[in-house]
Amino acid sequence: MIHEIRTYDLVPRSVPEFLEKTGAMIEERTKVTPLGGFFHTEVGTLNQVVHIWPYDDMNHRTEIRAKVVADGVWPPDNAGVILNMQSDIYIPAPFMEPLTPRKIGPLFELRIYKYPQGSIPKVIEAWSAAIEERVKFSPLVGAWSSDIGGLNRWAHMWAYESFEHRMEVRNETRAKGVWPPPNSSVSPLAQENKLMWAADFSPIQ
Amino acid sequence: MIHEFRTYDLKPGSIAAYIERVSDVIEERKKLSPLVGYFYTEVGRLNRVLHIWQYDSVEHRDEMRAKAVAGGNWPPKTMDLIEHQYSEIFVPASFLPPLDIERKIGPIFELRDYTLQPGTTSAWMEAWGSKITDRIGLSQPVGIWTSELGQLNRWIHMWSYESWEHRTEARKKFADIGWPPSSGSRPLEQENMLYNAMPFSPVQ
Repeated sequence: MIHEIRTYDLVPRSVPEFLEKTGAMIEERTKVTPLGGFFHTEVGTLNQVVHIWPYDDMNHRTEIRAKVVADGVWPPDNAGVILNMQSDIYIPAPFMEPLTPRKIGPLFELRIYKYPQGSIPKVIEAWSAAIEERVKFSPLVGAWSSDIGGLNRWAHMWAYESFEHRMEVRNETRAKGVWPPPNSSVSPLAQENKLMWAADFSPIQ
Repeated sequence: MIHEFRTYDLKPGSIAAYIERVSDVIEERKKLSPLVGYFYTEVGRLNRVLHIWQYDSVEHRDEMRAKAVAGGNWPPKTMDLIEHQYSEIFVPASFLPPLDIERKIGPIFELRDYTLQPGTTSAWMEAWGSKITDRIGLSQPVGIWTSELGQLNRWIHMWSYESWEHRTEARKKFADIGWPPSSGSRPLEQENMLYNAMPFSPVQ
């Protein structure tokens, strides 16, 4: 299984138009393969959308993308408002739940860490041991390691009821030694995060 | 008047040590020239700190910095924690009323960093100036600035909120007051980030 994470930078203040055009076509598109989640930024690089598409593998992805274009199902006519498009292929962490429709937000935090080369297996090991306790406090949407695109990346997305809920969870899990994973032997080189809302048609809300 | 924005990217995991070391020497430094605020990121590029210093002019800045170093107290011994340093000079927007240095208006600080189309800054000044009183009624600004030295055509505004709820409510009321004001041109880029104030920041 692979997850394609597509990040688009839009013309400032064109997010509503983009979502409307995408929303109009998403039902037909998701009959072909499911959408994992569809988000837009509230804090971070603004005017940005992030969408996650699961596929069996790269061949499956290529085949489906060719098919939806040939059938006229996809893509929405958003070329006029897109400034930059980025596609990265990520591998879901072994402990993450499949992306199925869930109502766990409405606030989503995507965190992207860059690690020294060769340390992702150690990150997965440390997280595997600690994640069960951590998700008792707030749901994990997903955790992924990069496969194609910027390498040695570790992306993870969390759901919160509100920003205050987020602060409470972060403080409490740190104070109790639950999180970050206590036995991690590697440190990231760089860290960034962003806050996002789900689009109306996102299966994860 | 100018404001110097100093933005440092720290090694991951070193914010606590950084705050401790700066706090040892910052009070002496503040006596020389005013510190507007000292922050670290909560959302955005993490492990980043921002400090904003106020000076009468670039000459005044040079003079005060030389004096601080000559006094032996400054800079803090934080070099081993810092990966990158950026310094930029901004000018506070003239339409803002005078703001006190010591203010308790947070604890959530949102910095919004826009890149404007070249040649449109004066139209933005005029548009924002006409609506600023209504906007301040919803939440207090730390400041609004235009770039003077560094990457140009930047329009930076930093707002304070008592809570995320306060931010949500304020933003809902934007439509009622006609915010953001129409300047006739869209920004080229927009980015925002959430900051926390360090314990010794005059704005809290």
